[in-house]
Amino acid sequence: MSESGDGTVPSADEGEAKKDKAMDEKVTPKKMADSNAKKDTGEKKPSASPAVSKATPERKNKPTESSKTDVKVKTPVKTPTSNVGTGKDQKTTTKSGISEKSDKSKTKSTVVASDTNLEKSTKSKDISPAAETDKIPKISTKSTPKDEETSKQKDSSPLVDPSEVPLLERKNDLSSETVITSTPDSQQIPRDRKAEAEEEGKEKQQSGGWNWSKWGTSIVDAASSSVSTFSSQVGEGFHTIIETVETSLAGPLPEDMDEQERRMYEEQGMGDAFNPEVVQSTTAGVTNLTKKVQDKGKSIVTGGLDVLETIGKKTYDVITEHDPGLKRTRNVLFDRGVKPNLSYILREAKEHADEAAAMKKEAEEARKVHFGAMFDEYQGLAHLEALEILSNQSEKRVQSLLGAMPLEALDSIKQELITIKQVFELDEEEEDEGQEHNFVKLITDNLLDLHLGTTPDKLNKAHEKIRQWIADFYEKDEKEEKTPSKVRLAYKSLMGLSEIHEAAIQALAEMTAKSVEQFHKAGELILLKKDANKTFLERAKCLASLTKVLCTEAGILSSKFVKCLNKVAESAESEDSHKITMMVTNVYLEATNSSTYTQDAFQLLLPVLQQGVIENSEVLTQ
Amino acid sequence: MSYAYLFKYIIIGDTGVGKSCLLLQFTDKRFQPVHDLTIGVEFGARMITIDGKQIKLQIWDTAGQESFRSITRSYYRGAAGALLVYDITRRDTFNHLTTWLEDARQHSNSNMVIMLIGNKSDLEARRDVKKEEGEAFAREHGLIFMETSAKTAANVEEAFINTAKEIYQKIQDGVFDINNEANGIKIGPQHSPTNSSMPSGGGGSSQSGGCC
Repeated sequence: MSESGDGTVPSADEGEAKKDKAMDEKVTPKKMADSNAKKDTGEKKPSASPAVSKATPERKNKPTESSKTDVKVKTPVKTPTSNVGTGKDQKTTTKSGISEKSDKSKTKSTVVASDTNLEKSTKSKDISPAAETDKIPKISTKSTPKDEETSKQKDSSPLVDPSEVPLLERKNDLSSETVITSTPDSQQIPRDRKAEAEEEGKEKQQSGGWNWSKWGTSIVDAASSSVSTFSSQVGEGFHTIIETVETSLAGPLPEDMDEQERRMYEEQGMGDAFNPEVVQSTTAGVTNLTKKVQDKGKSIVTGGLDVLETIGKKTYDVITEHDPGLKRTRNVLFDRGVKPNLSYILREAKEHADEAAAMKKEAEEARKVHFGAMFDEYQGLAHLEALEILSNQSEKRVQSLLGAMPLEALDSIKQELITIKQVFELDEEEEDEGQEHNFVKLITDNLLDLHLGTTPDKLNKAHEKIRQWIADFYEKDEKEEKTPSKVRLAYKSLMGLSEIHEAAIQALAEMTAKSVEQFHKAGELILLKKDANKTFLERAKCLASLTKVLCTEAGILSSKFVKCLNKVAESAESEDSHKITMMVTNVYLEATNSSTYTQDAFQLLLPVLQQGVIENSEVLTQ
Repeated sequence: MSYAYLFKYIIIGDTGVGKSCLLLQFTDKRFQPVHDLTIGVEFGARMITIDGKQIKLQIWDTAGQESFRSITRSYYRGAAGALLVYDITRRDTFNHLTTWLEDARQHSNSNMVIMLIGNKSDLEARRDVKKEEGEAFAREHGLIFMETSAKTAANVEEAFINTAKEIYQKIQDGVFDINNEANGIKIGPQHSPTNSSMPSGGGGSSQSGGCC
């Protein structure tokens, strides 16, 4: 740094002037920016955009100066500028130094350095500028090539339109303040250097350079093409990005220059070491090539990186703009659990199917113990409906017949109609429920007494089936009891319970349906067979007793089934007691239901009989 | 069994043409060569599926004997469909069709679908009525026509189901008022479990911001 301080001497002239001004500026800090820019040849504060813009032309105006200064600037570059800057900064720290976002480490270092530099710079005035210029390049190249790089990278941005410069570049600018001066030179310098290099170390480049350049060009071509395609692809729809990409691509030039320069030096050194002989013409070509390669390579690399960075940034911005917290994006990208996959769908479908099957089974079971449903299944409802139709028709007929009947005839027939009606008013008290009777005989006798030619087959068949079931149950139960295994009994009892319940309901439903059917048939035949040997009163009595028998039978059957249930319940565990009670209640309930249906069917026959009475009497009267 | 609709059918026609056998074949899928004379009316029921809907057919198989005519007539009312059956081996059963048809039309609702059935098609050797005659009669009176065999079950299913389809179509067309039970159509008890249609989570409405 001390050397560099010496190096800065030429700029010190400026530095002096600046100093003076700087002092003034302290008083008027507002002007600082402008004045700084002017003094430092625009090195200062690119952050203050107007100042920079103004500064740049100045630089150009002083090419000669710059050429000198450049040399100094390169290596120690920082020092003078930083001096000036820091000098001001120290006083107006908050404004310039800190606000400029420049790397803190840098600023700090520069601040520290600045003091020393300041002193040196002031001293350096005395030293002749010419001597220094000679010195400087060597020093610079050897001592701090890296600094150059960094500083020049920073320079790149100023070349780009400063007003448009995006954030990224602005940062570069900040750090680059100091270097700015060097930029114009850097372009020139390489040439000078090259000339030297050409003279000095051509040979090395020649021999090794050809291959290298070849290789380089091929790579460059491939890389550039890929980059261009990439950018063009991405570019669609992202104009803004493309713009930044373009600027950044344009930017790297100075860096490349610098890089080239450095390499030149290296090569130079190598060349010196190896072979001093030079073939100028070839070297020129080689250098051109290498330069090109370097240019392109660098620009591609940096440009590509910039593109990636900008794209990344933009993408993030675009996403976050519409998706705060990236919640949705995260869901889309990572939340696979929510996504329905095949196995999940299949499992769900299976569950649905199972559910439906279970429901169907349940409904089927429920239907089997549902008296109404079973009654319908045995066509009891249909017969009842048909009987109703007949009954309604007969009633209408009776009304019309009675209306059309002469008074005398009406009086004579009235008594018979009333007696029949009385028969239909059943005495419920007479029902001696539970008392065993010969069902088959009673039914058959009653039906025969009807003289309608109806057979009790269906009724008797149904009845027989039910009795057989009950008999089978007791028989089976006795067998089971002989080999009592507690576990089996408990299991069997549960099965038995619902089985008995189901059988009871079905038996009652079937019996009722057959009873209704029997009454329906009786009604049809009463209407058909008018040539009755039997009086309608007798038929009515037969039907009434038939009804009684059927109702009694329903009661007997229900109590038999309840006995079966209770028998099973004895061996069953207490937990089932509620279930058993429910079933018993249900069986008794449906037994009364059955009786109701039977009695309803019987009542529907009244108009039919009345019609028969009237029509027969009419025949008689006629 | 839950069903969407219940259709009431009547089967009519001369005695001995095979009405009860047709019903038995349709409901029990069996054939009984000797069948008792039907007294008044007998019943059969079966579930079929049309257009994915369960439909229960409640079939009234009437007695064909002339003596029962007065009673069976009263059962016509409230039928959605009628199977008018004749025996292809007995021309007289075919000749009585007009009377049956008049009876049916008179005692039932005007929208009743009538299917003309020439039964005993398995007895081709004893055929007395040509198929074309049956077709012509059906065309003339606006009936659907089919030759069936209750013995071999040929076309039995089709006869019942095609009638149901016709009725179903009439319901769709709004010809039948399903709420009027005199039309022979009842809406079934809805045992179907109430589908708990959960409000589906609001689908993400992605708003694509127009860039550029």
